[in-house]
Amino acid sequence: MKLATARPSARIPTLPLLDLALLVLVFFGVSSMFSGTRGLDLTLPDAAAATVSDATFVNVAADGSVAVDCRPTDASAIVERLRPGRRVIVYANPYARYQSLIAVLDALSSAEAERGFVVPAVWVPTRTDVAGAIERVGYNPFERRCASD
Amino acid sequence: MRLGRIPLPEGPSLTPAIAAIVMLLALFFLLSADREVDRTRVELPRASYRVAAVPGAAVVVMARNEQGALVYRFSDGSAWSHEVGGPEAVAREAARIAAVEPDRQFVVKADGNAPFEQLDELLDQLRRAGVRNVLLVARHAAGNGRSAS
Repeated sequence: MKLATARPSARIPTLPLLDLALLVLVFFGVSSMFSGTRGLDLTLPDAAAATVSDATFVNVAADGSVAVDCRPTDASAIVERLRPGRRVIVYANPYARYQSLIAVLDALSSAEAERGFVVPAVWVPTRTDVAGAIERVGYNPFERRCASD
Repeated sequence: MRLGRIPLPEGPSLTPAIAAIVMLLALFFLLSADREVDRTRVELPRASYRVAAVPGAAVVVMARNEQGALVYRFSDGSAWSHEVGGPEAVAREAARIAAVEPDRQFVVKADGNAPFEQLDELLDQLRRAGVRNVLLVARHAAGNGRSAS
């Protein structure tokens, strides 16, 4: 007697495979959009190239308040006080919160979008720069001596 | 006159070919996705005009542990980050990379609430180690009306 046996199909189920692959693709696409490290670019200049002349000074006080060339301003309004083509020196008080510095750098990054020009260079002097400048000129040139001081 | 249903031409199914293409794309995304080398929880500062880190950038982390002490971690961009003793130890690791690749980007993940002097020390050490390009990692500042990043 011959038994009727149903032979299993040898076909690869491509449709569920396609569904799965599309889901994987969408997952990677979406996750690559939302992941990734992002932040603000900063160039650390050579000590020799770091000079204080012909620059706009942005000072960040310990309480986070900001002044552009001695004129107190809101961090978001810094760009309005910049002169196109002029580099910027950002000097933060050692006790200012790091977030305050980032707010200033963020505002400088917005110059192109908000005012149509790019700040040619941003220099955040470090302690070595400050010490070197004091040795050269006898005072801290990054701490602006303003008329109201 | 009423037209009858036009029969669809019989032909080979395109599903396996589409499945193959989608699988290849998924594989491509999987392989090209930027590998994470550090997952330290850091209270990052906020910024709007962020740019993406260069793939393979070295990573420097300055964070507070549960006891409130500052801890530093370092990754050359390919291996998982490891704890290092302090800014000087970071500088030693960074100098090895900068000696070979002076334009290599260094991603700095630091606590936004930390006083600037702590970041200043780190940036100072990095600069002395020959590092030029730094990316200060920030999270997206939501709700300020800006559109970048």
